[in-house]
Amino acid sequence: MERGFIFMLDAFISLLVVIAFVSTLNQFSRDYSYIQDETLYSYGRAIMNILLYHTVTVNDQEVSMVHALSDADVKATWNEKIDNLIPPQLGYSIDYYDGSSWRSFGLPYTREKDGAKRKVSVVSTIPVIIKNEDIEQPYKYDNYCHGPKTQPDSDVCMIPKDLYVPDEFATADAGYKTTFVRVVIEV
Amino acid sequence: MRRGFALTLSIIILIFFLTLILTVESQRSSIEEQTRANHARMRAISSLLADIDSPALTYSLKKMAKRTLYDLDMKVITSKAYFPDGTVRGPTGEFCKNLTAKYNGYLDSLKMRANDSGLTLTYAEPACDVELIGPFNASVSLNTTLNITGSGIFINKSLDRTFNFSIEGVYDPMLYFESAEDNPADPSYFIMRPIINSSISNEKVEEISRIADADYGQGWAYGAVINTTDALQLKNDGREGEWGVYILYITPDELSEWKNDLDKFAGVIFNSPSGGATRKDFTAVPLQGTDSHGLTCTYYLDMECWVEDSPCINCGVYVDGYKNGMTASDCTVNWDNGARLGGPQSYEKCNAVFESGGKWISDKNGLHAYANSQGENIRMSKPFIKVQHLSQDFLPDRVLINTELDTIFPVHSGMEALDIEVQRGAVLCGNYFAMGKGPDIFSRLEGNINAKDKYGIETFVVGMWAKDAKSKLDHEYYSTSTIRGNKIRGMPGCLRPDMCDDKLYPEGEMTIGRFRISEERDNDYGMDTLIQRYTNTKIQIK
Repeated sequence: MERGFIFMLDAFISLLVVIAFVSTLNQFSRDYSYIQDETLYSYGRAIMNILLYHTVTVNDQEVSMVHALSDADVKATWNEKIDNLIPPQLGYSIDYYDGSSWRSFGLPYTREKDGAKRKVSVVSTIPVIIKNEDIEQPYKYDNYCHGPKTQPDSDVCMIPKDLYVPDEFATADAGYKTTFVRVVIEV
Repeated sequence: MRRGFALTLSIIILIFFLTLILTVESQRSSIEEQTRANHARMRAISSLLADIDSPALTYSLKKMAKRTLYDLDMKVITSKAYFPDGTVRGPTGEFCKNLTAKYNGYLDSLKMRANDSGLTLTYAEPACDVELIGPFNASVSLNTTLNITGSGIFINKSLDRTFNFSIEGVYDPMLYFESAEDNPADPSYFIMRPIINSSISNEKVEEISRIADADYGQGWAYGAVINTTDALQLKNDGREGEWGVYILYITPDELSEWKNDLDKFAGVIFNSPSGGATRKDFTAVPLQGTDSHGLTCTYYLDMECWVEDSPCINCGVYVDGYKNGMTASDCTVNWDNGARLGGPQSYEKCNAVFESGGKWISDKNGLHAYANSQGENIRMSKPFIKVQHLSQDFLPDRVLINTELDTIFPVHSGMEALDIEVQRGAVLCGNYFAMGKGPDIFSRLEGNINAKDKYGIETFVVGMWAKDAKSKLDHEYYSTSTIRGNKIRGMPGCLRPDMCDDKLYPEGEMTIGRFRISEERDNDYGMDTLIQRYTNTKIQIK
């Protein structure tokens, strides 16, 4: 009887010890979610590298893609070639910081993912200029190359697109403001 | 008892091993956490390095440099004060000071980003240098060293960038400053003009396109060319009054229908394949004159008589006479009443000119007369030119009828129809030319108007503010020494359409005549042949 009690007691203590061990071991078990984060990050970084290193020709200038996201040809290139590189099960978005919050560039630089659970951002340190289309150009073609008797051939006059628009940064502040771009990958 | 002891011992051993396993697992987990943190730092470092090595940074620096130039430019404009001489360019110049300040802002942002990842980033004060490598391009070098440290990490990286940027599009500070100084009371006169490289190349601007040589003609006029079909359309539309701004292009078969309307156009190009006029020479024609004592004397002229071939506009006779001697040294002829022949000779149609008067004038070459076969003055009031070599489909947009004198005589060379659109475009568009003879952008920021820099640029100032009889090249117009210019035919004198509005300003007052360029520079712009040398065509005989 006594022996049986001791045996049962030992078995019970062993059970408790094993439960405690398993419970503790579970606490030390590996969190494999970082692998998913790493995967998302590597995709985000790869896209960012494409934006920074892939150059396109805009107005006869070689420009990194990140500086020409509003260009129609660049948008077409994105649709045709780069979007395919990102697995269909992933959503993504390219955003820029307007000084107070992140704003999306919109299509085609966005692919929405319903019910996304994990999201990773890759933020570039390269200052990017976001042209403010609302700013009126200070020097108008019509003021200088137009008129019934004085209008010369258009190809000898200045072209408005050549004009330097000073406030082409995201803020109208007189100082130099940097704006950054980020790539968000979600799954 | 022994069995219980064995059992207890086995449990203790089990617990010991389990504890051992837990300890190992705990250490492994700790190492993994640490590894992951290091991995995150390494990832941050590699991202930073990937960013700053990318061509995207170079483009950002280009924009930063241009913004710096714009800021300096606006400083001159808003303060109406040039930078002191010699303070803008070079490693210690204002440009580099301002650019470095902006660049430091960017490097500070890198600092913050590194700090977010548990790293410390420091940088050496960037070294900057700037120089022009062309009239519209500058080269900048920015060099610094980055140190990234943290948790046993130490990375030393040189960040050197040399890049070019265009100065095009920023306002010309000198033009604004000087025009504001010129008319301080009226801001509408201040010229805010962006520096844009002219699409007219230097080679092209030196050329002047000769459309055709002419047999003869009169005066000069500039305007859009209109053919008779279009002129008839204007007539039918009731816009006949607009003929005055056009040059009519007409062929012989259209002459009879339009002959009475020719005077209503700014000028006429008469394309007549039959040639100009038939020439007849007369040697030493005696003309009667009087000397200072009132006695009759004889004045001998070598005469050329030109009889205009049909078809012709007014079908006249033109006479050129060159003095060949006088019986008295002070012999003079009363030209106003016509030249009276010394004896009965037959000069065919030229008699009408000699006997009945016609209209005599003289220039440096001798004496000239013109009349129709009845001895009437046939001079057209509007400029015209008669050419032989234009095709039927010739119809340029605009043309300059160009004759040296305001006469219709065929003996004068230089009668031609010219296309001067290039010259007009050069003047009117307000673009900049790089002839290497004016101040470059840095000199313009410093107000060195008279500088002749290697990469000097220049533009034309035309309009209400440019009233003086100076050369209208900007740095010559505003030069501290007066640089006069010659009037150039066919050039615009207005920069904005309203300045050429006939309702506001009389015809010819603003549209032409105000434009001038110096003798030293007219050849650079192909304008030397367009100099208006004669303002009065009627030169009295001495």
